[in-house]
Amino acid sequence: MLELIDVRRSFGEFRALDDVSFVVRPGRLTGFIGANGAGKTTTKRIILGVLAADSGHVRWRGADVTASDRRRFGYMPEERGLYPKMSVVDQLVFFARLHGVGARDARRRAEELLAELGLGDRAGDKLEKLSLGNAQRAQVAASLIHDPELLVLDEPFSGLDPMAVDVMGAMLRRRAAAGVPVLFSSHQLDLVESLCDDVVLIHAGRIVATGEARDLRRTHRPDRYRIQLGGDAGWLRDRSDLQVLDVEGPSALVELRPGADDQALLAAALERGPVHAFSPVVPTLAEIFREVAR
Amino acid sequence: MSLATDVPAPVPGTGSGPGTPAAAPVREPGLRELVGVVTQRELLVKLRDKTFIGSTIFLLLIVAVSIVLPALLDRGNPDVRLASVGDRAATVAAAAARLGALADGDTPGAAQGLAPARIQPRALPDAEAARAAVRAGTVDAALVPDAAAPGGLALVGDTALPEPLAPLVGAAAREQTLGSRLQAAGLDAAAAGAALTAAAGSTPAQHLLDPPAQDANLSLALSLAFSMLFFFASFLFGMSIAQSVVEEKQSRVVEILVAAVPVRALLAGKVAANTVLALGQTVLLGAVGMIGAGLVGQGDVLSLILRSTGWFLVFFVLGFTMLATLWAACGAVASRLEDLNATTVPMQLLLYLPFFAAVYVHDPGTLQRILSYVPFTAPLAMPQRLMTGDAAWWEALISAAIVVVTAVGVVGIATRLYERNVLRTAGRVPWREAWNA
Repeated sequence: MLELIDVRRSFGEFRALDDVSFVVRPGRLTGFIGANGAGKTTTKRIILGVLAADSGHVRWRGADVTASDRRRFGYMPEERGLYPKMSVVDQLVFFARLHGVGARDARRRAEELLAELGLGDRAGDKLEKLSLGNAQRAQVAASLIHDPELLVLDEPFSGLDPMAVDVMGAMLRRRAAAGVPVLFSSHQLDLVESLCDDVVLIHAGRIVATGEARDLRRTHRPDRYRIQLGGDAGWLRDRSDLQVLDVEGPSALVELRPGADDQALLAAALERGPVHAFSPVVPTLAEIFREVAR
Repeated sequence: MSLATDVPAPVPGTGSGPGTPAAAPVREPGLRELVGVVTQRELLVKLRDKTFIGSTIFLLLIVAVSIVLPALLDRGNPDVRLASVGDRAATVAAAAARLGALADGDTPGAAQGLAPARIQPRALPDAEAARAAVRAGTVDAALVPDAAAPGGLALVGDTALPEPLAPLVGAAAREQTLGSRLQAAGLDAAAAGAALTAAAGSTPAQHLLDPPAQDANLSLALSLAFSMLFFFASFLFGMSIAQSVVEEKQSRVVEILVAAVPVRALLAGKVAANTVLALGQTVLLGAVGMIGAGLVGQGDVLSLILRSTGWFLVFFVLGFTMLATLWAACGAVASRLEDLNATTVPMQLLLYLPFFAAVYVHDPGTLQRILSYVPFTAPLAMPQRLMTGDAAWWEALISAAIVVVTAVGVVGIATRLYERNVLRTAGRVPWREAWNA
């Protein structure tokens, strides 16, 4: 498990991270979401030791993280980059060896990994000859080449076509299933929603929400209901315990005011005629994100 | 929603997750091993680079041609076209041609002490025509009756007389005059000839009590060649270090590298690889030069190179590594390749100024002695002094020690600049900020 405890970092006067604390659990995909400039990249750089924290702790498996722990982490930075003029397989071998994999093992692993990512036939090509999507896969391969014990990926899905997104998603899930904690950021919130077990939401250098994606959606739910009646729903506007967000003929979207009783509303509706639907609305991550980022 | 599972399952291609046996154990690589891996990559990339291969071949050709070509042009004796006017001049010209063909400097005999030349005599009707031919360049010189001294001869050239001609013609004229006088005095032709040969053979041999150790021009040329080798290798391979640093910044690969490897290992690997390449290329150029010199028979060049190369290589390696880390620092404060023009200015000064100082101050003296102890000029000036026999071996050791001490300090400065700036990818970093960052 990776833990961040009260991590702070400033650049001059600007406080980029303010008491950032969260955990990345083994066997789980953790989505790291936040607006541009919220502090995602700084957090990741501190986890990887590329940047030092001003204060706070990064703990790995219960102890402060060391340089040799970090050598077993896999990292895909925000700003992509490999050697443009080196062949894909050569650079994977290079990165593997920097992580302590022997030369022969390194080549074998590079070939296996490229095959897994559907890049086997491009292994000998120079990176600059690859398409954007394939270069992206090579980049991911570089972060996986040494079988990392923790994976930290910045926007692994950007630039991928839908099929490549599926391949990538399945691969991250396999790593997580093998017990590797995976932390990745993405602006594609529907993807985070469908893929992640846990979510960490950062805004302006502070963690504003963290936990299981399901819980997060439940707890961040304002009391909203979608109601489908037999007759016109216009009467809902006259009730003082709710706010009508949208009404169209027999259907309406309402938000109960704090302390209002949903069962009283349902009873009132049933008095007036048939009720075809009365369902709580769970917000999407995107809605939560917009709400906290406001 | 995803189907989270807390049960780790073995997955092909992944091994070291907790609970799964590692496919192949990942060792903790030592610093030396990391430096080795970085060095190896730099070497392979460079050795596969077509531009690098091309420029190396080009340099080799230049060295080969510059050694072999002058020797080829020099081979054989100079051709001299000599016009003669009148019977006596024709006889003397023919005798000079015979002496020129015989002469090779040392062989005893009629032509002893004379330089060889291929003289092609040709008779012309009168002195006017001969002078016109000299002026027109159809002959190199003319032997005509001397208007000032009746019975004498004059050798006429245009702006200068061909080098070996005058001694040959002089010897031929003396021989001819003496021969006819001896015969007039009663000796027969054979006895007169023998007397002439004996006279020529009595030309004193030449000995110097304190001959110069070698040709001064040759050692000067060679020390210039060494200086240029150092200058170009430092410049080209230093630039290559700076470029390789910037390329890693520009392609952002440096962030992954820094996450995996101590920054020092990266720096050390780059410097090691380029030092090996620079030294390798220089030795290759030197070897081609030596083989070339051997093939064209310039044995004295060969032995001089062999005697001077050792110290040159010592100072080459020391001088190169002293500057190499600074080149990396110049790369680290740049953020794009275009920035290198500006950020490498200090390096260019550190190379150009010592180079020109060492080239201009090539005569032994106080100034050269000082230069041979100043860290940045020592790699150029000290080998020069050693080659001309002006410095003793212990002087070279002191100078080398000064360079080593300086190099240690320079490496410290450069490492700080490199470490603090290699991750700053937003624009060129001003030096002051680069240092304090």
